[in-house]
Amino acid sequence: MAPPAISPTGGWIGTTIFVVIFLAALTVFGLRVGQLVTLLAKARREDRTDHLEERIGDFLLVVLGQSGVLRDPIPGLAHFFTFWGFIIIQFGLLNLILGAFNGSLLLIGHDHTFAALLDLFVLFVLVSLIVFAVRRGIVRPRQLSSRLHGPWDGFIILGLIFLVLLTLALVETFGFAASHGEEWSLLGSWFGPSFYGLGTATNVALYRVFWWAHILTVLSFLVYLPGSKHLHLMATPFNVFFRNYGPRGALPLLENLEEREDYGVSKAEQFTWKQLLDGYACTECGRCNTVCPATNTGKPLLPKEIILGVKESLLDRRHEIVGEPNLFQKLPLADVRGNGHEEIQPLVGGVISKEALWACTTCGACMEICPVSIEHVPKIVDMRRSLVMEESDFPPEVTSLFNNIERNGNPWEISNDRRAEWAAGLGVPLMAENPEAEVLYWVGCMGSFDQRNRKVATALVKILKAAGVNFAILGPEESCTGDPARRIGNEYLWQMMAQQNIEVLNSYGFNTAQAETATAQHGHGHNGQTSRARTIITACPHCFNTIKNEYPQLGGHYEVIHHSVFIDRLISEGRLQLPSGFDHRKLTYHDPCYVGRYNGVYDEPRRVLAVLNSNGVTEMRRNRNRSFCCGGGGGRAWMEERIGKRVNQTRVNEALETEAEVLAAACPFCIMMFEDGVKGVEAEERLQVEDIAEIVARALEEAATPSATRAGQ
Amino acid sequence: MKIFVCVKQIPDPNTVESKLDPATKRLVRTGVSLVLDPGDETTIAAAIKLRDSLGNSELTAISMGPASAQEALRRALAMGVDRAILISDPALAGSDVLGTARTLAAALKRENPDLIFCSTESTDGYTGMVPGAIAEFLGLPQLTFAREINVEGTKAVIKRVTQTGYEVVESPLPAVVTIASGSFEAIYPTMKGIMSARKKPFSQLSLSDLGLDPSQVGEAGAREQVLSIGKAEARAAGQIIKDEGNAAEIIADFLQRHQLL
Ligand SMILES: Cc1cc2nc3c(=O)[nH]c(=O)nc-3n(C[C@H](O)[C@H](O)[C@H](O)COP(=O)(O)OP(=O)(O)OC[C@H]3O[C@@H](n4cnc5c(N)ncnc54)[C@H](O)[C@@H]3O)c2cc1C
Ligand code: SF4
Ligand code: SF4
Repeated sequence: MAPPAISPTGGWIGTTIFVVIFLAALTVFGLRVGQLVTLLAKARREDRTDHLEERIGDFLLVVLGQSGVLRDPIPGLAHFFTFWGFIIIQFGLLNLILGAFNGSLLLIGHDHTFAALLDLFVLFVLVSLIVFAVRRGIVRPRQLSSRLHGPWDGFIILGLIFLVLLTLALVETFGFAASHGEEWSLLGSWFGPSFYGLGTATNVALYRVFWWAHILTVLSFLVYLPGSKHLHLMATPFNVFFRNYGPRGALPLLENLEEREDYGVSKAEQFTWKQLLDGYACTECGRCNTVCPATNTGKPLLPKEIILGVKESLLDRRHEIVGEPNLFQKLPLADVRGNGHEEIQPLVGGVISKEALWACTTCGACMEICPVSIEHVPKIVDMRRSLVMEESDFPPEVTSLFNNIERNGNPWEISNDRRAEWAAGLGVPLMAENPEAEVLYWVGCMGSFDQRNRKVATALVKILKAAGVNFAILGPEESCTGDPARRIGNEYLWQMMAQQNIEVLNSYGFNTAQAETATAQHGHGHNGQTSRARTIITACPHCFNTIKNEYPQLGGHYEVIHHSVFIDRLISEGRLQLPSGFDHRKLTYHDPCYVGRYNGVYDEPRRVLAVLNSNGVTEMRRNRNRSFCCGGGGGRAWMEERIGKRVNQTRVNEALETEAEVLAAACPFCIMMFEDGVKGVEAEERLQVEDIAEIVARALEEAATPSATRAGQ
Repeated sequence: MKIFVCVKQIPDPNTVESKLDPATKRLVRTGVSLVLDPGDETTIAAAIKLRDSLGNSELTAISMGPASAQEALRRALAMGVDRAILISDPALAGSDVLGTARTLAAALKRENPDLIFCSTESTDGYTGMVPGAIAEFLGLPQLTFAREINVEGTKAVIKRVTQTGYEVVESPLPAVVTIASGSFEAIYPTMKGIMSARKKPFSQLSLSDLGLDPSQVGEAGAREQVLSIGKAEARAAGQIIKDEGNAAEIIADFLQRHQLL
C-alpha cells in the first residue's frame, strides 16, 4: 500500500473526526439493519436449507452472473452493468477511505486500466440514472407507484446516488489537479488540467472539501438505505438464495391442526421469516401488477401491494414484536418505517383488504414474473386461512361449497353415490372390479358431474380404449381432492379430503412409497406388469397438482400424469394412430395455470394439437408461462365475480384476436369459464371451446371412418 | 340468561331422496347420510346472536334422537353453542309429535330456561307442531315467526314476519320463540369452534333421568297413527300457448276464467 499523493484529511485531527463519523454512521446502519433482522428472527421458523448445492450454484449464477435479468437482454444488460459497476465503484470508495490513513489501493494507483474502468462505470451509471429519473418523473409507469415509501423515496435515492458519483468525479478532478496528474484517474485527466490555474493550495483545499462531501453522501446513503425501498439491494441476494426449491404447485402444509393456537396469518409476525424477507427484497418494480388477472380486470388486488402491505404491517408492529423500544429505537433516525402515518391498521381487512385477498385466482403469474423470487400466493392463502378458519369470514356462496365437499365429497348438492353415472353404458370398470388396472383414471368432480365436462370424460374414455389401456375409475370411492377448499383457505377440509383419498388410493396399491411392500404382501407382481409404479391420470389440472405435489405432505406419493401428457405419450409410443392435420379450423391453445406455470407442461399439449391441426397452433399474445388465467382458479370458480371486468371474457377476447375458431384448453375449469365467457361476449358462432381430449377423440372417429366429412369443411 | 335451542338431526335434504317405509309407514332414517337440520342451523345462529348481545348468558342445544344425533349436536357446539344435551332411549323410538314434545319439555323443565328457540318447522317432518306443544307442556307463551329477537328487562320482544311486513310482539320471559326461515345466515364453524366442541359439556339423558314413563312416549305413547301412505298426485302438465298473434287474448281469457283478472 502506497501513500496517496495528497492526504485527504490533512493530518491526524481530520482522520480522527473521520473515524468518529464513519463509525457512528456504521453503527446506526448496523442497528437499523439489526432491527430488521431481529424482526425476521422473531417470525415463524421455516427450513430453507434443502438443495444446498443447487442453492449455492444458482446464487453464483443469478446474483453474480445476473442470469435471471439477462433473460430479458436489453434491461438485463443495463442491470448487469449497473450491478458490476456498483461493485467496482466500491473500490474507488475504499481507495478514498484508505487515503485518510495515508494509504491507497495498489490496484488503482499502479495500473491506469483499473482506474479507467472504474470511471467508465461511473459515467455509465450517471447516464443510467438520468434514464431512470426520466422514466420515474416523466413516464411514471403506474406499477412503480408505491404505497409504502411515497413518490419521494425513489427520487431521494436517485439523488443520493447522483451526488455520490458527482462528488467522486470532483474528488478525482481536483486530486488530479492538485497532484499534477500523480493521482491519476480518467475523469481527472479530462477535467483536472483545466484547474491547474487555481494553484496547488486551492486545488488541495477543494480536493479535501469534495473528499468530505463524497464521504458524507456515501454515509448518508448507508444510513438512509434500510428504511428505503432500496433495502432490496441488500435483501435480494438472500431472497434469491432462500427461494423455494420444492414443487411450485404445493402450498405449505399447516401442521398440527388439532393443537395449534392459530390457523393462518392475521398478524405480520405469524408469517415465516422467508415470507417477511420477501417484503424487504421487493424492488417495487410492479411487474407482478402488470400480469395479474385481478389487477388487469379492475379488482382491488395488486400483488405488489400484498407484498408491501405485509412489510408495512410488520414495520408497524415492530415494537409489539421486539418489545419495548430502547433509546436507539426512539430516535427518529432509527425508524425503518418508510412513511410515518400514525394510526396502525390490522393487516387483514386494514392494510390489505379482504376483497383483495378474495380476488386472487392463485394463477401464479406474479410469482413467475417476479425478478427476485417473491412468493405471493402462499401469503394470500395464509391470510385467507385466517379469515376462513379463525373468523369464518368469506364470500357467502362458499359456505355451501364447504358443506357439500364435507358431506357429499363433491362441490354440489349431489350424493357421491352417483359419481360413476356419467360412465353408464361406456363399459368403464370400477377399480373395485378391476383392481389390477394399470392406469387409474381420476375423473374429478367436474368430469363426474358437470354436464359439459362429462363430455370430456367420455372422450378420454374413448381414447384410453382405442389405445388399449387397462384402466379403471374409482366411482363413488373417489371424492373431491379438496383443492378448492385449500386454496380458499380451508386447510382443515383439504386435509380431511386428502386423507380420505390417500386411504383409497393406498388400498389399491398406488402409493409409490408403499408399492414395494404392497407387492410383497399381496403378490401383485404376478404378471410382471403391476410391479412397476402404477399411474394415475386425470384431465383436471387442479386434481393433478394437488395429488402430485400436495398429497406427499400427508404421505401420499403417486405417479400422476395430466391427460395431455399421457395422450402425447400414447401417440409417441405408437399406441394411438391419429390422422395428422385432420382438423382445418384455426386453433389456439390456452395454458391452464396448474398445468403450465405450476407444473411446467407446455410442449406436450401443443405437440398433440399440432399433429392434428393442419394449421398448427396459433398462439395468443400471452402464452406458455405468461398465460393469462381463465379466472377459475383459487376457488374463484365458486365465487361471484362482483367487481370489474370478467377475467374469462378478457381471455376469450384475446383468443378472438387470433381469429381462431377453436379455443383448446386442458382443464375443466378453463372450459367452464370459457364456455361462459364466449356466451358473455356473444361469440358462440365464432369460437368453439374444446378440451384437447375431445379433439383427439374426434380424430379417432375420423380415423375409423375416413369417408366422413372432415371437420371444418 | 339460560337460553336453549331445540335441534334435530335429519336425513340430508340435499342429497337424500325421502323414502317412506311401506311397513312402518315412516320416513327411512337409517342407512342415509344424516345432518343437522339446515333450518335449525339458522335458528342456532339467531340464538348465538342474542346470547352474544346479551352477554353473561349460556346457550344450550337440546335434541331428542338416536345416538347418531350426537354428530348434529357437535356441529351445534362447533358453531358456538356452549353446551349440549341429547335425550336418547330405545323406548323413544316411534315417538310422534306429542311424545317428542313431552320428552323435550321434561328435559327443558329441569333446566329452568329463560328462552327456548325452535325453528318454525323441521325440514323433514315439517309438522311445525313440536314448538307449540313444548310451550303447552311447560305452560309458557310462544312467539312465532320471529325475524328479530330482543330481550328488554323481563320481556322478549320480537319482530314477527307477516305477509305484508312485520308486527312487534312481546311476551314475558320465559318463552318459546320460533324463528322464521331465511331470517338468519348459518354459521360456518371456525377451527377454534371445531376443536373446542370436543371439550364442551355434553350430557346424555335417558327416560328414567327425566322421570318419564315409557308408556307416555315412543311407539307406546303415540296418539297419532299413520293409516296409509300414498303418492301425491302428479301435477298436471301446464298448457303451453304458442303465440300465433292471439296469445295475449288466450292468456287473458284463462286468467279471467280463474278469476285472477
Ligand atoms: C306414529 C309416529 C311415529 C314416529 N316415529 C318416529 C321415530 O321413530 N323417529 C323419528 O325421528 N321420528 C318419528 N316420527 C316423526 C316425528 O313425529 C317427528 O319427527 C317429530 O315429532 C318432530 O316433528 P317435525 O319433524 O314435524 O318437527 P316440527 O314440529 O316441524 O319441528 C319444529 C322444530 O321443533 C324442534 N324439534 C322437532 N323435533 C325435535 C327433536 N326430536 N329434538 C329437538 N328438537 C326438535 C326443532 O327446533 C324443529 O325445527 C314419528 C311420527 C309418527 C306419527
Ligand atoms: S414483481 Fe416482485 S419485486 Fe417487482 S413489485 Fe412485484 S413482488 Fe416486488
Ligand atoms: S396469483 Fe394471479 S391472481 Fe393472484 S395475485 Fe398473483 S397474479 Fe394476481
